[in-house]
Amino acid sequence: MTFNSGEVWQKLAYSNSYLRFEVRMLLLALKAGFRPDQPRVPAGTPDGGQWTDEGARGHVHLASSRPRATGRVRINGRWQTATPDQEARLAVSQGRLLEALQKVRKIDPGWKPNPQAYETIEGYIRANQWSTAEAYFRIFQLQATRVGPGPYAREWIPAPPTNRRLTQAEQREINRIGRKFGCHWCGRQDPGTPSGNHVGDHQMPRSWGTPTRVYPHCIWCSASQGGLIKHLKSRRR
Amino acid sequence: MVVKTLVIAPEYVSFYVAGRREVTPPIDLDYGRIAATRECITVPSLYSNDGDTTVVVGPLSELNQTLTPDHDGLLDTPHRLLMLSDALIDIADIPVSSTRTHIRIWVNHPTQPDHVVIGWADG
Repeated sequence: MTFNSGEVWQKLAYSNSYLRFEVRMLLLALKAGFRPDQPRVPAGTPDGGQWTDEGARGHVHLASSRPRATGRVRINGRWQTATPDQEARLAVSQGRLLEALQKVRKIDPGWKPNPQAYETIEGYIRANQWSTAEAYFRIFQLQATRVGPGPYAREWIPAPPTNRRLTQAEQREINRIGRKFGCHWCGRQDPGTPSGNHVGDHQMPRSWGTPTRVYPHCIWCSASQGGLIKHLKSRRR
Repeated sequence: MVVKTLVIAPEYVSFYVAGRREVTPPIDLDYGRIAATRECITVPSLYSNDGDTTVVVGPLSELNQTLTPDHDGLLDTPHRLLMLSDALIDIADIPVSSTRTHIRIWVNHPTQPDHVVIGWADG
């Protein structure tokens, strides 16, 4: 074996300068927060090649390893079995409630629906639907100035359970309240109808839920409310 | 073109004639009479508990109305449909031939009519 001191010296000098270069680069990289082993987004995606968060690697789930829908819903700490139909309706009701809450909280950030009690999946769905209706009614109250019981609302009659016209006795009672307290919104005692009948105003409006009360209205406030309902209804489409 | 007769009982003492579904109805807050914009006409009607309102809709040429109309104006009908609705439901869609329609309306009472005639022609 021959030993060429000049060649050895050159190799050692090269190794030394290479190591110094690498140490310097590593120091610079550490200073800049760069880590050579940091993962990158794979090619073929819009962000391909860019550095990615290492934490994301820990959250990657293969589709095949995701837990499958079990058809079970937890209500009040108890697991209940849901049919596919119930699961679908529950998902729809939750989605609609979330959408309604987002809309109402843009106007009234602190608004919350009334708490609901339920024990079954059907009850859970109905609770979501009721809270959705409540949220839309709140939007309606906030956006439309002439809906909801007005400042002259004192007495009322229960709304008919079906979409029928008022009976003569109900109309007489609405007229009595109207003559005594006036239109529930403007206080006008002349309803403006040729018959002298006050217009029965269902609250909440039928397009927003099931009305529970009927108040006396004048034709001007009634037409005004109708226009607002039509306008809001078209905005909801 | 056929003249149509509709019997309605709108909830809020009025119904709307428009060329689109998404409209903001004009309201005559002073008198409660017909109010109109280029996109929607608000027509008063009889209080539903006092009875039905009959609405006759047809081409002006077939209505033979001789009285002065209570409303005479143009309405945008971008879908070539005259859409009748109240606050809660769609009542009828009447095909028209133009995207701008000339509308004339006759009512038998300024604020609580039980008979309304709506005539249309190309604008």
